[in-house]
Amino acid sequence: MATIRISAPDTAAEGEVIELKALIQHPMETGYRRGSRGEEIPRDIITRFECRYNGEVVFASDFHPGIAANPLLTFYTKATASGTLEFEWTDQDGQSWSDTHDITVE
Amino acid sequence: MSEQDFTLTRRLLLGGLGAGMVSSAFPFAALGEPEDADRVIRELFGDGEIQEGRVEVKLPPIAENGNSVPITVSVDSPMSEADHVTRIAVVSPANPLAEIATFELGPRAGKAEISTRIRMAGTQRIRAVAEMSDGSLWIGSASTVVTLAACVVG
Repeated sequence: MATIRISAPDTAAEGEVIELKALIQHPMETGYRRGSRGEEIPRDIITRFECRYNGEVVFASDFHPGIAANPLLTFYTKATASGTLEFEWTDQDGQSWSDTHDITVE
Repeated sequence: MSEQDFTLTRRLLLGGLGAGMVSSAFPFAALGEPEDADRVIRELFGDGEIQEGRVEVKLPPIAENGNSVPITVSVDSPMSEADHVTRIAVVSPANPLAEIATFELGPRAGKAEISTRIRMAGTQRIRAVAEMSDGSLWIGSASTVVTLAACVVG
């Protein structure tokens, strides 16, 4: 299980633009490096990130090997209703990790 | 390992270090060309006219380590239902793979700004292209001097 860190407000005013930070522990191995015996280290990267707000995708991203290890994303969304923010990462083999954060909109 | 292999490895290693320290123009096989970046932008956004402006890229002036360089891309847009950013792509003219990431946004974002950390294979000018809801394309860029490149040293 990869370690995930989410930073998001617990409460927000309706219509307020809130900052979201999402970090996942992952090597993002580029496939260009070689090991100590000269062997190629195979590519192992996360290719897709999605943030859903009550089920609706509000932000998404496609990653390539140019994204650093342990990818950190900072982005924004408008607080529209109380509910759940879901953050999901998917790697090149289809394995995915996710976490949720509940938000109350006043 | 034969002697020839060793010589090649050493030459590559020295070449790689030189490229990291001196310039990104060093003819290292794994490094990309600015034409790759142009091609990737065309593949992603088509043949429309790309205008300078509205997109701001923030990078540190100097990065000691190309493996993790903080980047912020912001686009001047009201992010309303009628006028918003739909896509932002970050493209490198020197990395082995020109495409670094693409971001999908919409009016729900409220603010067209994203930050992340990227790899940089040497000193270069990173470009960001934004596509607006009216289909117009805007480009901005920023450069960083990288003293220790990613991919080359690891």
